[in-house]
Amino acid sequence: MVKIDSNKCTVCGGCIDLCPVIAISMINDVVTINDELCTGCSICIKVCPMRAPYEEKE
Amino acid sequence: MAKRYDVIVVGAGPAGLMAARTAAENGLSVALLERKTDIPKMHRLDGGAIGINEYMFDQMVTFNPKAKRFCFPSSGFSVSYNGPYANVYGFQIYSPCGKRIFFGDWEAARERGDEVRVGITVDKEILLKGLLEECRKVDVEVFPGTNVTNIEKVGESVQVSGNGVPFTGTFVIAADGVNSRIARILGFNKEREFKGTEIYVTWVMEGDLPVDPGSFNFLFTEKGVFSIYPEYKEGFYHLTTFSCNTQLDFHANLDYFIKEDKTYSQWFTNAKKVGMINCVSNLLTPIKDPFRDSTLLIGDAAWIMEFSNMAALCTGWKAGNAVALAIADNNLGREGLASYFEYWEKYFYGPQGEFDFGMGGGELHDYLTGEEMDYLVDLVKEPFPATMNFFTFFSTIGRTYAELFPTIEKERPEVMEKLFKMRENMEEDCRKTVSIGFPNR
Repeated sequence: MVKIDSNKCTVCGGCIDLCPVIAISMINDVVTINDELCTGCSICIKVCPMRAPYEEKE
Repeated sequence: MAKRYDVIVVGAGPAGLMAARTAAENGLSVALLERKTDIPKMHRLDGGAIGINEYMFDQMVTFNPKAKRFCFPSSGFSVSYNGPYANVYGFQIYSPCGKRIFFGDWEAARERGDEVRVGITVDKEILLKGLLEECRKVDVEVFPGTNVTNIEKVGESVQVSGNGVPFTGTFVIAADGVNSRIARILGFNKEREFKGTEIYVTWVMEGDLPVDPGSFNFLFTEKGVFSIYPEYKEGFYHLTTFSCNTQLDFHANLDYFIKEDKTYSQWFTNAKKVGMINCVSNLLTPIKDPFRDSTLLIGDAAWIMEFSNMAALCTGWKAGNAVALAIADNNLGREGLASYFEYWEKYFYGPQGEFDFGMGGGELHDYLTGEEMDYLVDLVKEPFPATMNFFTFFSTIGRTYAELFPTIEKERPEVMEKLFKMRENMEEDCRKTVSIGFPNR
């Protein structure tokens, strides 16, 4: 499960745009991942200039 | 039954706001959908300047400080800007040891100021706020905080899904930016060439940097290119590093630049980092025919990279008018929008849509040493005319160095050989760039 550290995120929207399954949205200007749609492909993790998305350990 | 709009505009940046305003001025019913809740708030990188008094994309742009409006006399519209600004007088290129190439005359700037400016830096939030107010005045229905996740043709109409709610319209104008989701969903991206994923990391610096006031600067170092742009607020600068090498540690490079670069770190002894702005841009070649399924793509959505505020405003204005004509003529297919396609081809796609800017190719510092870059920059002794036109800037550099090749060959044949190698390796370097990008087609 991938989550976004909102302290690091600068809301550039790169991950939203590049997510292949449209799992990431802006909700009240906070970048948010929809768990149900996320496939764990980790593109958001690789592309983020702030290293804000991270794999949450179960 | 759900309301059907004449036009649904997706994206409330300058292109979308302009399209919505223009369509609504013509009496059309307009829904404007935007994923941000606070529409004027800027989160992404923006050069924060608008070029004026110079032709860009064959369009003249002027600024009237009394009326507080940007005017576009080639097209025939204007936009309110009631905010602070500072003059821009042109570009400068710096080499690793501090040699410079000038695109502007800073002595003239000191003496004549406004007369010789080629741009003004703006507070983009104020620009967007002004446009948003104008939209509301003409009854654009604005839907902030709305994520568009799907678009499809449904019979004669086109339907967009915003936060799961359907919005139906006769037309959609897609102004959803350089990584346009609508371009992707409608299949445009399969026909475009992918050049790479460009990442821009900006540190907002507060302090007194020893750059000429009103200069937009590109600094070439052994660790890459950095740009230093002044904000409209005096004493604030955007220090940016950018690359299609997605695997770089951009922040480490910026840190090195301000703390350890042998020439430039001294510039930052009294400056401090006060913010960070980032941008991720997928580079896909421009769209020649930006229309499909009753949907018109405008602004950055149809281009390879962030264009410019003026291109966004122009294409937004033209799209709003084209849709109004189509509806007035009851000509709801492609032919009805002919005025837009002519404009797009004449001013934008025709002149630059297929120009190869060499994106994705090798970077200078991977081929040349610092001293070699110093030598090359030092070859250009005369300043060039002031410009904020990237195309002019880029093609002037290309032409200048092509003319210098015989000199370089004679004086420094080993440097010439490296430049040849860079060209030889272009295909392979582009392939590598593509392989570390995230195309998302």
